[in-house]
Amino acid sequence: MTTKLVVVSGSYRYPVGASLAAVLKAGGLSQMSTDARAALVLREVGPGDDCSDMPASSAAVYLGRGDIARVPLPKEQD
Amino acid sequence: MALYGSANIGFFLVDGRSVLAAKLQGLTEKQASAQARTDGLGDTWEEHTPTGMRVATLTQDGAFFDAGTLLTHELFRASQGTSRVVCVAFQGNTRGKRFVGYDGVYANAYAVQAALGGLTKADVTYTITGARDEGQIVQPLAVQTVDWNTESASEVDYTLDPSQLVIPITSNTVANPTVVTTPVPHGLTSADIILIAGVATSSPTINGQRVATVISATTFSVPVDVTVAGTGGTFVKANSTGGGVGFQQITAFSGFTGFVGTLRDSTDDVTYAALIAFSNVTSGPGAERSTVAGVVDRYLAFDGNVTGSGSLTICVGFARR
Repeated sequence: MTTKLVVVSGSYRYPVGASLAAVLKAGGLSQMSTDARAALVLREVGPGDDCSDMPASSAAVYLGRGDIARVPLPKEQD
Repeated sequence: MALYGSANIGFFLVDGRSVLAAKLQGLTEKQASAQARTDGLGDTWEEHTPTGMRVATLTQDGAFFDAGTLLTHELFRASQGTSRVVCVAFQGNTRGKRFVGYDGVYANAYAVQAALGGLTKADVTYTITGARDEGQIVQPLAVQTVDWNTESASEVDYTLDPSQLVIPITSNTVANPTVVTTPVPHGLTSADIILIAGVATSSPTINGQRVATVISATTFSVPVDVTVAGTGGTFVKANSTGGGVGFQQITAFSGFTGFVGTLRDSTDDVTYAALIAFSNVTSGPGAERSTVAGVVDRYLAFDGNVTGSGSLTICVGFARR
C-alpha cells in the first residue's frame, strides 16, 4: 500500500472488522437491534486520523466531498 | 395525505417547558410577513410593502390552564421580549414526524373566558418574531437514564420524509453513464444523491441510491453502464445541500453532572458523521437551537452521552434547508 486515507474535516464513526461485515450483512445499522448494535466494535476518527479502514461506500462519498483525502504513505511504511 | 387529529398533538415546548394546556379546543400556527404602509398623499390606493420581517403566531383556544402545573405561563409573562426556543409537534410525539421550531423574541397574551355556570377557560396567543423551521423529530420526547443512540432501528430516513417531492422518470438510455429523462424539471444539482425506485426493464437496474450529474433541467446521468434501456419509475432526494437547524429541548434534568447530545448523519447507514454537537448541559429545563451548513445526508440519528447517574427528559428535531 502506498497511500492512506486521512480525515480532513469532521468526525466519523464506523464499524470495523467483523462488525463491519455484520452491519453490511444486516443491510445497515438501522436493520440491527439495539443489542446487536451495542455489541459492535466501532471506530471514531477525527481530523488528521488515519481512516483507511473506513467502509468503501462511505469513503467514496467523503473523498468526493473533500472531507477525507488520500495521501501518500511515508517511505518506511510502504 | 395523512390526517392528524387533536389527539396527535405531541408537545408544545418553550425553552424546555411544556405549555400545552389541558382539554385544548384548538391549537393554531400561523406565519406571516410583516408589511408597512407605504402610500402617501396623491395615491388613490393603499400600498403595503414587506419589511423583510416575519412573525409567527401560535394560539391555544379555550383551554384550561392549571396555575399549579403551568406556572411557566407566569414565568414567561415576567420576561416578555426574551428570545426563546419553541418546538411544536402537530403530528404526534413520534420519530420522523413533522415538527415546527422557532427561535426568536417571544411574547404571550391571555384572553380569559369566564362564563356563568361554566369553568374558566382562556385563549393564549404566542407571538414569535424570528426564525421558523419545519423538520422531523429525530428523538421523541422521552426519559433517558443512560447513554443511548438511535442509529439502530430508529434512525430517520430522509427518503421517507412525506414532505419530499417524488419526481417521475420517463426513461433511461443505453449509455455509460445512463441518461435519465424526467417529464418535469427534476430540480437537482450535480452531486446530489437520489434514491431511484420502480424503474422497469433497465439492465442493469438503476434502482437504488445514485449520485446524479445534471445535464439539463429535465435530464441527468447516473453512473451505471446500461445495456438495455429502462422506462418509468420515480426518484426522491437522498440528501440535502442547504444545511439545516437542530433543536434540542430538555424538559427535566436531575442527577447527571453533564449531558452532551450529538446529531449524526449518514449517507449509507454504515458510517455516521457528527452533524451538530449541542452544548454540554448541566441543568434543566432548557433548549438549544444550532445551525449547520452544507450537505446533510440521508440518515439522521441522535447520540446521547450522560455523565454520572440520573435522568433527563429530552426531544430533538432537525429541519433541513
